[in-house]
Amino acid sequence: MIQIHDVSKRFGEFEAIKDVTFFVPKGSIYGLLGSNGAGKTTLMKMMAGIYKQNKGTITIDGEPIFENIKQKERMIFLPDTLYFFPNTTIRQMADFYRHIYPKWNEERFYKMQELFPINMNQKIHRMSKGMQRQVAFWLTFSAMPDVLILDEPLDGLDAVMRQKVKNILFQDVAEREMTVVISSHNLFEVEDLCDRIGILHNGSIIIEKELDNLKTNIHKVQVAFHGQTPSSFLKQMDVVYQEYRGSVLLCIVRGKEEQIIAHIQKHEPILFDLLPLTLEEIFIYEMGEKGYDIENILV
Amino acid sequence: MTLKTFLFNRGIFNQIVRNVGWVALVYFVGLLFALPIHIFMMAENKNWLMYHQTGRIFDIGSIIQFPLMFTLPILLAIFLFRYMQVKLSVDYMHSLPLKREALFFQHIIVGMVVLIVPIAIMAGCLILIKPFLPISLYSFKHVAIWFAGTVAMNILLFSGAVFVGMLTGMSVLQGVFAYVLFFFPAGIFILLMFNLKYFLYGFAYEYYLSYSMNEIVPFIRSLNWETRRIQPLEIFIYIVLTFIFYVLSLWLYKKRHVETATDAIAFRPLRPVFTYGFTFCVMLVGGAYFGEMQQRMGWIIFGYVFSSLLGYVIARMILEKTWRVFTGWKEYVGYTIFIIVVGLMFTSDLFGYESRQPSLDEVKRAYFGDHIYYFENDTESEENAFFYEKENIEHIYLFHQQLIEQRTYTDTENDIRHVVIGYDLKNGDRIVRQYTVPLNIYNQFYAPIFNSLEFKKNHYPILRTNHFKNVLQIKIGSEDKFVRLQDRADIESFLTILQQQLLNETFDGEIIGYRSWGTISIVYEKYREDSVEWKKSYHLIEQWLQNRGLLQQARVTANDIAEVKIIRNIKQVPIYDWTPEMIEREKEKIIVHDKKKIEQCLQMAGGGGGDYIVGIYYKNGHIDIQSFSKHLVPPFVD
Repeated sequence: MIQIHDVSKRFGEFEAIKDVTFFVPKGSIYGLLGSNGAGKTTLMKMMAGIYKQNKGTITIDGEPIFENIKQKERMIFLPDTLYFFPNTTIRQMADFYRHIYPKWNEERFYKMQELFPINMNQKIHRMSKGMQRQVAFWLTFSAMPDVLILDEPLDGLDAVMRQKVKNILFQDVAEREMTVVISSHNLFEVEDLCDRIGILHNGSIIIEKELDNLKTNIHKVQVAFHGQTPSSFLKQMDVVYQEYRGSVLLCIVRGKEEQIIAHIQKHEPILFDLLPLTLEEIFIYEMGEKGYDIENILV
Repeated sequence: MTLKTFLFNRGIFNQIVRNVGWVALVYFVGLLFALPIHIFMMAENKNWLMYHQTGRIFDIGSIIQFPLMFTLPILLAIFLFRYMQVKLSVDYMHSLPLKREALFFQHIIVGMVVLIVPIAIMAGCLILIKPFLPISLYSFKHVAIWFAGTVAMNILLFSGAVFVGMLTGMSVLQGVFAYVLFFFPAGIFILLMFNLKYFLYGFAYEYYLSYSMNEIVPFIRSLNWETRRIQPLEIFIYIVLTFIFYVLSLWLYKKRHVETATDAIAFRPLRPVFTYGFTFCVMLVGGAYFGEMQQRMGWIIFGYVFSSLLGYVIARMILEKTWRVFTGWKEYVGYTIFIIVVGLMFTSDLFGYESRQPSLDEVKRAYFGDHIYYFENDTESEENAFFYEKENIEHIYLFHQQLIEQRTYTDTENDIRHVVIGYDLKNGDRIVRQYTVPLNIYNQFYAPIFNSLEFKKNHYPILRTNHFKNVLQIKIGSEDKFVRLQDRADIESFLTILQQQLLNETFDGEIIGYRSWGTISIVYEKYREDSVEWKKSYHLIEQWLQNRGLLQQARVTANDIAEVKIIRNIKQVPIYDWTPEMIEREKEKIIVHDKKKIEQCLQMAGGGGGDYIVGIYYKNGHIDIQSFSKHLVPPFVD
């Protein structure tokens, strides 16, 4: 479990992260979304114990992460730009990891060769970006981390490889209760992956959602009545957004599906549709409610 | 977790060795050329080998040894800690489950091993080849000294470079700062001394500069290891410094933020320190440069303004890593105000430095001389410039008082004297001041001191002895004409007269060396020599030589001279600017042929600032240009 409490980080005069609080339960995948410069990387580097926060606490299983070897041995951070020691082969890197990470699984490393069809004795620096990223995942998964922090991890991977990586992620989360934090500037990329999503904007988490009940709890409703819309109709619902398209009222409503349907039926509309929302729509409306424009926050 | 596993990690250790192991190879090959191969080359030539026979291992192949020693440890520190200065690698390394202590210790341990191993192997090689050399070039002890010195210096430079690496986030600056670190203490001291003398009247900068400051620069010191052997204490100091550098480095490393990689200065609070420190140093360099070149306050101030501005801009360029630094002048204005205040404090003598004089009762002895040397090197055998007699101490004291009150700045005057006044107090303190004094003021105070027996005994070693048994010979005269006295009776007689002459001498405003026939040099046993200026005013000497018929041999006389031409030096052109052609060109001149008058001219001519220029035309064609001062002119002139 990763617990982030009231964390701030300054670079000189610039405050990159402001009073951020959230937590990632064990065995879940947390998506950290935000545009470029929102502070995702800074926040993740603090979670990985690389940067030290100016304020607040970051703990993993209750222990502060900074300079904490015991916790860092269970964790791997994969940055958006990868680093390998100069002039090393995959095999040499694997040996290095074996000495560094106590849970290194040599058997798994060899097994995964099937998934990552790259020659182990090749120098990593000669490889393409995409291949380097595959190598990084290969090494990372072989180190059997309990906590995995991935900064824009899927960039540069083709669709097939993406799916492979996602599958291993799911598998590790399901089997070993691995905890994953994954950042992206693209909602679609992580939509099918995450249990929970937080959106970071200008250094603050502006919204945080559980994805499972997110979709079941919010609905798009299209209704039309004879004449005026009954005044009691809207008041008794948790309306996030409303607009009229001619005589049709379109609104986004929070609440249990059955309750909403029952409430609407009661008013005898001449037209009624209850539509599912895409994840993007949910965020657009939720953030619109808070005064943000999603265009500026996610690309 | 045991300490071993805590500090040592095989993975990272292998990686470090893979990264910098080549440095050990380079060092080894370099030393191979510098020592064993070089020694075998020398062995081909006996003379070459003999030259090094005193066990001077540092001197063998020094052109390779020293450059390696001065560069490799610093390069190694840069390579080892390169991971801290690059964004990608610094993040990566600190995401690994390794404590900073572990990273630090493994890096410095590999670094030291990489440096020490080649040196140790080389020491072994030296011992191995020793029996095969035609002569005993060095002893085991010499090899041990060489090993200890080389290792200590390498480790010191390495640790210093590691230390500055913690302060900066750029590898280039790490290299620059490493050298700056070792030159800085001596450099800043010298610069301060040079600059203080412009603001503190009487500041005896030479006294402070003569502390051998370059000895504290390890590079310069090590180059002298063969002439002044490296001492165990030195090695000990190097080791202590190394230790201090390591402790500080680790402390800084733990405080350092990872994200400061690529920053010029890794710690925010140090940035103003860097800016102002750099500005200050460049300002001092500029001040000293213009001060030494032009010697005028206007230029010095210009130097300060110009170079502090330059320093400030450069410092900001380094910090901001761009040359476009056009804003942010507030700090410079603050700096300027601060410097002006400090400058005013010095010029207004806020600390009472310029007016400080001990009370007379406290003075054990006083020093009076024209340079600082004997104040520090108080040797009995040579010239001694300390005065113990109350009367003389008072004279010196009064002179000092006069100099403090008068504060004569003398850049415009021609005839100046350097004066060093010092006091050794009864409580052991020393006070020393240095002045430039116009001649007229100087003479006034110099006379009573000069006329005292104590001064003469101090000044002329010959007055401190009564038996001349160990005198081998005396040479009287100049390069061209001289007399040699070797007869015992002559020597005794001459020296007795010389002593009397010197005791009788009174100060006549004459500066030593201006009017002299040559020198009297007294050669003692064991190659000791003592010389006394043969002043033209020494009539007893002249008489003595005359009586023995040696005068003609000892000095130039009218018999050597064809003619003398005298002209007025209306424009006061300095004597050394005159040429025979200029004398010929003058229309109004007195030409002397009469022997008596020529002799008078010779007696009075000198080398000082002259109101008359005297061309002395020798019979052998040589022309000598001297002068008369207006106080001493033959009666037929004017």
